[in-house]
Amino acid sequence: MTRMLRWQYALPRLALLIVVLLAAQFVLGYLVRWQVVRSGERSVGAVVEVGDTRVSLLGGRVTIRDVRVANTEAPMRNLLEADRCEFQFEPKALLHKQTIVERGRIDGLRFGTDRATSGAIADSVAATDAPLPGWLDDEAITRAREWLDRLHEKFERDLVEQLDSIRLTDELLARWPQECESLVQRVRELRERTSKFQTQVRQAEANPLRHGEVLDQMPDELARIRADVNLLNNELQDLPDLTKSDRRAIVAARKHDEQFLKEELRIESIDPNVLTAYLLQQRLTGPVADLVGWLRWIRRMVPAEKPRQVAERKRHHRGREVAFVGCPRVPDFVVRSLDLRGTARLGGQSIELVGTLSDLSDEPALHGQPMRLRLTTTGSMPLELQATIDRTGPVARDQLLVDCGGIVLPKLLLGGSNKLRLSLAPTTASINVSLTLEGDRLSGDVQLVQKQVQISPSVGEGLEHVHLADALAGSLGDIRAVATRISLRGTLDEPRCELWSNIGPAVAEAMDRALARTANYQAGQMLAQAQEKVGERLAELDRQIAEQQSELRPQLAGSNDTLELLAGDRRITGRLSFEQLGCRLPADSLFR
Amino acid sequence: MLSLLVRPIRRSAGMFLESDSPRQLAAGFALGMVLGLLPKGNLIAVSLCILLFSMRVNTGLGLVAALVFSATGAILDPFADKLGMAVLSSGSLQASFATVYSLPLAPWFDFNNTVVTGSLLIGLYFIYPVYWLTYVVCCWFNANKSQWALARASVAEPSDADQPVDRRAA
Repeated sequence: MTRMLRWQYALPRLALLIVVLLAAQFVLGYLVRWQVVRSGERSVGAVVEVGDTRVSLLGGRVTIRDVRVANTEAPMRNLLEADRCEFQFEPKALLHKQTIVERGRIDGLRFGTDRATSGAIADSVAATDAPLPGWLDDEAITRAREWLDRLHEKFERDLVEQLDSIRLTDELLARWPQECESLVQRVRELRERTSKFQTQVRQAEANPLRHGEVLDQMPDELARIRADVNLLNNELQDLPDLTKSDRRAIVAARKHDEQFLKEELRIESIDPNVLTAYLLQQRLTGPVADLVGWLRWIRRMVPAEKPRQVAERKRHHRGREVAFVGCPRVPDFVVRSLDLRGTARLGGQSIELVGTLSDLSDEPALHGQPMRLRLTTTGSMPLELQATIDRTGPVARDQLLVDCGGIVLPKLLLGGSNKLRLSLAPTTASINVSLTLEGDRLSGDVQLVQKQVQISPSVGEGLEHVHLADALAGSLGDIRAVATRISLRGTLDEPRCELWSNIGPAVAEAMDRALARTANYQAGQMLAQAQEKVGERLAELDRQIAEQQSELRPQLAGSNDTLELLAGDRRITGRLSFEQLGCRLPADSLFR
Repeated sequence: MLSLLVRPIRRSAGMFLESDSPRQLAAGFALGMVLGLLPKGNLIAVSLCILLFSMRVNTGLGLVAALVFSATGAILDPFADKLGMAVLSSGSLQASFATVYSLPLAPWFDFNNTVVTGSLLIGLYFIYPVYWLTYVVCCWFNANKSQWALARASVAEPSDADQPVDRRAA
C-alpha cells in the first residue's frame, strides 16, 4: 500500500494546504462577502452592499462593515443600513455541518436612509404590496359628507322671505295699490257726479218750469250724493283701520314663524361612528397601511410556507435525507442572540434603539423556538417593541406588540373636507399595538391615547356667519383626552378595519349642542330681521295711506262744499208750489 | 494527411495510457467511476478525489471516468435512491448510523443522503468488475500496441524493417 502512495506528490500539496488555510481567513472574507450579497439580494430582491468583511478562523468571528440593503419599493432609499455587524460562531457546530451564531452584534442600525444610487436589481421584479381595497368605511365618510352638505344648505338658505309674517305683509302691500286705486276712482266718480249734478241744478234753476221734474228730484239726489260723500269720507278716515285685521294676522303669523324656523333649522344628530370615520379615517390610513405593509414584508422575508418544504428545496436536489433514530434533526443555520443598536425616526423624532434578535433559524420547526425581536428606546420616548415570528407549528403565527408611552405628535388636521375640520395642537400620545397574524388571518388592535388635547374646529365658509365654529369650540373645550382604537380583522390581503374613538361621540354631542344654540340664535336673528322688514313695509304702507288721505280729502271736501253750496241755494228743498211759483211771477203778470 | 488529423488523438491517448501499467490504469478508471457516480459537494467525493490524486493510479483516466460517470450517473439515481433508503432505513443499523453521524465532520460526508449512499454502494459493488475489465482491456491493448507500432513503421519506412526494435521504438 505504501508503495502505492506518492509521497513526493502528497507532501507538497499538504504544505500547500497549510498555506491555503493560513490564507483562508483573508480569502474567506471575500467569500463571506459574496455569499452575504448573493443571499441577501435573493431574499430581499434589491441591491445589498457590503463594505468590508473579515473572517477570523481561530476566533470563529466574522465582521462585516457598512451593510446597506436597498428598499425594493423605493430604490433610492435603504431598507436598513448598519455600520458594523459582528458574528461569533460556534466552531464545534461547523464540524456538525451547522452554522450557529452564538452571539452577534449589529451597531449603527438605521432605517430608511437615502441612497446615492438606485438599489433596484435590473432583472428582479419589485414585490409591491397590493393596495388595501375596501378596508375603510367609505360609506361612513359619504354619509358624513352628505350630513355636512345638508347642514350647510340649512344655514345658507334665506328663510326670512319664506316667513308667514313677511308673506302676509307682502300680500297686504300688494293689495293696497288696488284698494287705493279703487278709492281714487270712487272719489273721481263722485266729483264728476257732483259737477254734473251742479250743472243740472244750475240749468234747472235757470228755467224751473221746463226742469220742474229735475228740481223735484234734486233734494233726493243731493241727499244721495251727500251720503256718498260722507261714506267715502268715512272710508278715507277709517283707511288706517282697514289694515288692522291684516296687522293682527301678521302678529299672529310670528308664532307660526317661530315654529317654522325651529322646524327648518332642526338638524338630525349625526351618528358618532360616522363622524369618527369622517374625522380620523383618512388620517390613520397611512400608519395602518404601513403597519400592514410591515407584516407583509415579514411574511415575504420569512414565508409561511412549510419549513420542511423550504428545507427540502434548499438541500440536495438528488436524493433524500434520512433522519436516524436517536439522532435529532437540527437546523443548518441558527442565530442564538443578536444585539441590535441603532436609530430610527418615529413621529418625526429620532430615537435610539437597543434590542435583541434571538432564535433566528432557517428551519424553525427543527430549532423549536420562534424568532423573537425585542427593541426598546433609550431616549425621551419610551418605546418597547416585541415581535414574535413563529414557524415552529403547522400554522405560521406572527405577533407584534408595541408599547410607546410618550410620543410627541405634531399638529394634526382631522376631517375629510373643509366643511368641518378639527385642528389638534401638538400633544403627547401613547400608542399600543397588538397584532396577531395566524396563518393568513389578521387580528388585533392599535390604540392611541392623546392627552391634554386642544381642539380648534373650523367650518366651511357657508357657516361662518352663524358662528357655529365658536359654539363648537366652546363645546369641544371640555374634551381633555382623545382615545382611538383601530381593530384589524380579515386577512393580510384583504384587511378590514374598525375604527372607534371618543372624539366622534364628543364632537357629535358638541355639534348637537352647538347646532341647537346656533339654530336658536339664527332663528332669533331671522325673526328680528323679519320683524324689521315687516315694520319697514307697514310704515311704508302707513305713509302711503296718509298720503292718499291727504290727497283725497281735499277732493271730497270740494265735492262737499259744492253740495253745501247747492243746498244753500236751495234752502227750500223740494219742488216749488204753485203759490210760490205765482209769487215769483212779475206783478203785472197775467197769471199772478 | 490522415495521420496529421489522427495524431492529436493518438498523443492524448498515449498521455493517458503509455506511462502507466495496466493495473494503475484500471485502478484509476475504477476510482474515477466511483467518484463520477457520487453526488458532489460532500466529503466522500472530496476524499475520493484526494485518493485519486494521492495514489499511484492513472489520474487522467480516473478524471475521464469521473466526467463520464458524472454525466451519465444521474440515470442511476432512482435505483440509488431506493438502495440508499433500504440501507439507511435498516433498523439494525440505525444505532450505528446515529453514532457515526453524531461524530464531528460526519454530517459533511452526507452519508444520510439516499443517493450518496446508494451511489457509493453501487460504485463499490462495481469497482472490482470495472477494475478487472479495464485491466483486461489495458493488457490486450499493451500486447497489441507493439504489433500496431511495427505495422505502422513498416508501412511508413520499409527499409527500416531490418533495424532493431528498440531503436525503432525510440
